[in-house]
Amino acid sequence: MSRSSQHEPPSGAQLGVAAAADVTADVTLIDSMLALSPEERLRQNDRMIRTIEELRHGFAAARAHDAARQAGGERD
Amino acid sequence: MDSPPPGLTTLLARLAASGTDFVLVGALAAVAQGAPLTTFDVDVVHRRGADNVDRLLGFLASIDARYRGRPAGQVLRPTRDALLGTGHQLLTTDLGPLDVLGAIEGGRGYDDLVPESVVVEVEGKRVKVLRLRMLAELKRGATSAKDQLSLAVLEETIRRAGAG
Repeated sequence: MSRSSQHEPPSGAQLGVAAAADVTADVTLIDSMLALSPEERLRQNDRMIRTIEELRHGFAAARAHDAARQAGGERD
Repeated sequence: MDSPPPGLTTLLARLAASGTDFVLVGALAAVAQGAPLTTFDVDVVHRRGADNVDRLLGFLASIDARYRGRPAGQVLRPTRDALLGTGHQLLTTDLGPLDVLGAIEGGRGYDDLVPESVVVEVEGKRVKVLRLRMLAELKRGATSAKDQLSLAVLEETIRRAGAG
């Protein structure tokens, strides 16, 4: 790698490739899953579902709160 | 504090405890074998013999299984005839979503999939799970972006596990 290239930020295309690789095949996640028993892996999926559902509820509550605040502001 | 809902692991273990013959397929089969995916339902291919279908029907009734996506107030429950066929019954239950599949890609049924499965233990019950290599093969024919992403994860998991 040339000295100049060491100081150049990666291009958008390079970042895109790296991000896609991370999303599709993160080997650290695979290795951590492989270290678990099958039942532990299934329970991990259960925990992920609960986390995703909590986030969905959180986003929905925040949207409702924002909408109510906006409606209140419009009345003022 | 409320206890958390039982989750898909319990749904799978209770299905196994019912004595129903089935093979776990789909994303949860991949998760059980180490693929870092997240899925919201259990997909199984059941043996379509009359005795097994009757056991499965009894289990489905015990967890209040009904078809997903029905209009409010129009509950539809799976029938014996439906489970004897090769169709896909997409159900919601007290324990979570459950897809009961008579056959999958290429018309593969229970008897075709058993030789391609491994056995794992879940809550002390033995569950047949379709091998990662076969799950990847099934995904290769799919064209959706979601399936392509899953395929990449499956293939890397097979490489890292050194088996499949």
